[in-house]
Amino acid sequence: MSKLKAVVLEKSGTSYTVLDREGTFRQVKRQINAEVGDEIELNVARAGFWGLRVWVGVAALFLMTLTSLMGWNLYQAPTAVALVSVDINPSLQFTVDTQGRFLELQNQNEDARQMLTQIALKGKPIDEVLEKIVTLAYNQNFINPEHNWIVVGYSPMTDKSIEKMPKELNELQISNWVTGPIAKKGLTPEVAVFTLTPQDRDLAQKGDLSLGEFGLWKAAQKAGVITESGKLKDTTERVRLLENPQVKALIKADKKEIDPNLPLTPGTSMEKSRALDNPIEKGPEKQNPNESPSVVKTPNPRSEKDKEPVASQKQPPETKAESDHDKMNNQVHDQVHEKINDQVNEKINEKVDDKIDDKIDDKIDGQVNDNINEKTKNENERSKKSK
Amino acid sequence: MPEWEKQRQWHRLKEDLEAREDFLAESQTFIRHVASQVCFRTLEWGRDDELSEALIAFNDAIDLFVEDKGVPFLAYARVLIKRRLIDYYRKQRLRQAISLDQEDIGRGIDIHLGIDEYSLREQNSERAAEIQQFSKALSVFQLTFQDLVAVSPKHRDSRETLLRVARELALDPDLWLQVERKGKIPMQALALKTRVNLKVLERGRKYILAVALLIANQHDYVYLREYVLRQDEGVKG
Repeated sequence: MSKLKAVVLEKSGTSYTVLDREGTFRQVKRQINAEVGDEIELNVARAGFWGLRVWVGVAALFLMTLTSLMGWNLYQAPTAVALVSVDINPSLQFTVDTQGRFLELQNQNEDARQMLTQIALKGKPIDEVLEKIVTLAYNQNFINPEHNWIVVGYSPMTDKSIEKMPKELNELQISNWVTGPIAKKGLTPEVAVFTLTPQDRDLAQKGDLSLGEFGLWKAAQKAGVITESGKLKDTTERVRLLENPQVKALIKADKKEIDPNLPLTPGTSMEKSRALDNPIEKGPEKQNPNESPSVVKTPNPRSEKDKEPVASQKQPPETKAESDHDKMNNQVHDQVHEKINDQVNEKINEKVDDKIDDKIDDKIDGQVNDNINEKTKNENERSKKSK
Repeated sequence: MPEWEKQRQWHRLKEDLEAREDFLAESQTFIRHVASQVCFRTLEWGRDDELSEALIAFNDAIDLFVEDKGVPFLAYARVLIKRRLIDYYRKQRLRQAISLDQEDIGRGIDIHLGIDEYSLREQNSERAAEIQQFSKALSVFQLTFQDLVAVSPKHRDSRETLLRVARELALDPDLWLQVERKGKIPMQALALKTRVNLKVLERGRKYILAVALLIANQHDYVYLREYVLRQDEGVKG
């Protein structure tokens, strides 16, 4: 509240008519006994009014900022930080927010579209989403003992969103989530989980592949198994690659590279990959890259134990079952080594024999030629002498 | 803006005789105006002794004036002129000429009134006289203070616009002459001069006229005009 000087122009009843220093003629309440011509000080509410206006303005601005920030945060909250794909067939791909909640579908094939009409996934946590998808696929006979592969791929949306990704989104958990619901029903699906980078995601989108398909294609390429990326849309082709020992071995190796210390818990991708392990651990290195996967005939490493219910698989890493696996691996390993050695030896023997034969032939030819020449010479000399 | 309204360097005026002479010459109109008011007749330089007395009083005012006191110099000078003329008439026994300061007649008037002695009561009295005169001037245009309260602009921007317009009207001799002759503002000409919308001028007509009265009659409203001039335009002396 500021003071403003004013001169009293007129007195009338309980009020004064004044002219203030700002040139305003105004009527004010008669507070002190001033006479016409006296200069008085007005407690101008105007100052307070202006002050009030300033405060109201500041408060309004603050509220607006706060509202904008809140609105912005609300708007920002559902920002997609990761992309997850599930290929069974049906195939679908969806985004996930920082809280690990389903945001929206990005791609889906016809089977997925039909299947998803029955469930609402928006806003649901990722574990629930995956469980629902897998359960529904099982119920609709998309997953059965003949077709039991589930390929899951996931990647951060950008390099920056890696840190924002929900912590529970990892291979171990994903594998648990997709295996669990079906295992309860007596079927243990085979799961391949691929962790991809944002750059991989871009490449996959350019190639019109899901993350899982791209991950599989990449693994196949790395394993030296040639396949057209377009064919990966076909479930049969996917299964062919997934069943390929080199690819399996590579997937397993990749998993070890990602986290070699991951605990082996039932139904996890680690366990599965170990169970589905390619007996040739270093297969891709030894394998001729040009060789067709169909040509490679390796014993199927899946044992009956692998097909046991999940509950029975709950064993710590250093168990007897584990050592059995190792034994079996070693045996198969040895067998393959023997085979390869045999093949190599055979080839070497063949080559040596060929070389020896060639040399003998050469020698015989040389000697025969020499004899003929000598004979011809002698005959010529004899004819000369006779002449 | 009249020369005497400019910011004066009082220190220089007090010491530099030439500057003081120039200032006295410039202020002759004011001195004559005040003296004529006191004497109730038009005074002429060289003919009336009252003007010499008034000039001496004005010169004393320059010596005695202290800028920092917050009193307009012309108001102070006017009081000194009045007091000197009252004393002059007392000596001449022509008291009938003094009507405004009847209350001062009974007691001895110190014509050498110092600025420190220029009391609040005297300033109020001066202002009251101006207000009385202003009220009469307004009544010529059928205006009252109540009218001015009603039309006084409330918003700062519009008030500043109208104050600027009133100032231009008051300081333009041709326009102001038309006001004095016809008793109304030449709106079209004023709108052209000020480039303010005619409707705005119409709405603020009474206010413009009242303020212009205070500014145009610079010698009469030494106090009141300070209320309608911006601080940077105010007359310090």
